[in-house]
Amino acid sequence: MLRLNTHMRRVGWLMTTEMLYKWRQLLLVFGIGFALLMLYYLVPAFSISDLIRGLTNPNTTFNFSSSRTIYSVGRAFINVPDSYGLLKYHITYFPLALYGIGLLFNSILFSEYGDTMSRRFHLSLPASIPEKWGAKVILSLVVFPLAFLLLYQLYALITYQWGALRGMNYVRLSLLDPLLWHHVGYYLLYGGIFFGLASCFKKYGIVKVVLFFIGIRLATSILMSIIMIILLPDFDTDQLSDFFSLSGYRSFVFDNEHSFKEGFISHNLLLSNPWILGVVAILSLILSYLKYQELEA
Amino acid sequence: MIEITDLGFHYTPRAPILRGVTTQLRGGMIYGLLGKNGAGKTTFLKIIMGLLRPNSGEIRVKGYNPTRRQTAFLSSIFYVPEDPFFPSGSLRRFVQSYGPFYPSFSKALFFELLEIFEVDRSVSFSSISFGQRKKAFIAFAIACQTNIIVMDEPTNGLDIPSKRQFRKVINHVINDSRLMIISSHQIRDLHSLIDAVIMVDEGEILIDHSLPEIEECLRFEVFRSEPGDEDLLYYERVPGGYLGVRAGRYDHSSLEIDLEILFNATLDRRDHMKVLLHKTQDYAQA
Repeated sequence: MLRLNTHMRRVGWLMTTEMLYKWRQLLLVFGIGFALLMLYYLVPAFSISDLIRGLTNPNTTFNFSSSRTIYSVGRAFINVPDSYGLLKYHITYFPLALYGIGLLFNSILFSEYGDTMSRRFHLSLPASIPEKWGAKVILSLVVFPLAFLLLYQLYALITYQWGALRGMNYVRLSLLDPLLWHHVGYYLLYGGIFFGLASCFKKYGIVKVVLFFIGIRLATSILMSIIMIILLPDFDTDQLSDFFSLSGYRSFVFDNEHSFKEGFISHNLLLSNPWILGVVAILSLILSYLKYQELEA
Repeated sequence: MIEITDLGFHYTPRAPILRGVTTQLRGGMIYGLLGKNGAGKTTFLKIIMGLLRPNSGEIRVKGYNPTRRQTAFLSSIFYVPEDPFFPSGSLRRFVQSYGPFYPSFSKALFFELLEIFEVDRSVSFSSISFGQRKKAFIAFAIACQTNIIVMDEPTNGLDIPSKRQFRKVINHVINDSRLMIISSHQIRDLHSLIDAVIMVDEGEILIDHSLPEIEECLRFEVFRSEPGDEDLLYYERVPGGYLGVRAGRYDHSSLEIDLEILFNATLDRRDHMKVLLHKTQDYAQA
């Protein structure tokens, strides 16, 4: 019991020091993330005249044709068909922010890998390898999602109040909303992968992790598209459109019906299947532990 | 306290950095680690710290294998690198964050050392000079009260009064349960501080002797004019004459060990010095 307490205490100190000395980077990432969300919420289209129209005429409908993403944001904010308009907004932007900020958060967790001085100091600290690695895992997979949930609640409250002031009858996003916990559950799987990726890069970790993840998505898209085109030439994409639009998935490669095919397949079979994701996440965590053991300064 | 047997390290096999290094370092001693730039001093220290893994040989530090980086091992050793990590925030926060990791850490000693080093305890690392930061880091290293302190070029960046303070503090804190290794190419900074010399060159140890062992076989002498003496192992011009070293025992007519002359003589008469010093060591051990 005493030994366990000692281990837990050291893990606690490690987590505290991580937060204390990386707070500037973390604040920057969280700040930019939420500023972008607020910008998307407040600015339905990227023009001053649309902003003024949106703010002064809450029920105006806009037809944005340039991009689906901007269109959906605009629709959620301005052309509110029912009280679920804001919830639709959260459906898109909660996971986007969670995974985006989560990816950067994991990179920051390993920022000392790119700096010899802090890496040397970190490795010399009297704590075992499992304790040091464990502290990072807890920060990534427990502290971050909980902190994000609370901050997003604050954000949802602000947007709710803003809508209420403008006479809109929005649904208030609850902390217990299954939507949030569904994505937090998925974050635990994606977070494991982010964690593994972040531990692999020493220099320019953040940039490399983002590029690597985009690369994986691209590679999977290309692979699955090829498989779909070969195996299912007459695949009916219409029936999938509802599911697809909710998933928020976009193909980086194809912009026609093929994107639906590979999007559906990769979404269901590769990148969103919880079992496959779980296996990849566990392998990533094991990889990160092995990398941590091997780390030199 | 530290046992090293046939240690080898390389980044590429064709360019070994350390080869066949064997030595034993005892408690209660301050070892001066000397060597040219790129001789392998920092690599040697990093291997002791467990920051690098040797390619061959064995190393035990207080019975621990450093590469496993166990907590008990890390609690007993502190590394002061040439360019230490200075996090953002105040010294007070630094101590509050990292002090608890070291079981014997003494906050009172840390603040006492800061006073000796004339560093303001309320400042942040970012607002003071490199020398001040380094002194604060050295104070932290000593306040952790680990059995082993490894310092790589600790006097780099320190001004002359600070170097004197550094020597005073080190002499004050050394005791039989402690071992210090101080690497430096500023040899004069180690004068009157170290008890033993380890000299590394081209990846191997040339000298691994205590100062009394060196005094048993080498005499340092001063000459007014250029000496023509063939027995002299090495000499060089200094202000006011020449300083040289020859085989022989230290006595009241000879000078104290001059580390710079010893260093240069060893590089110049490598094989001769090795034979001479090893004979003395064998004799001392017998």
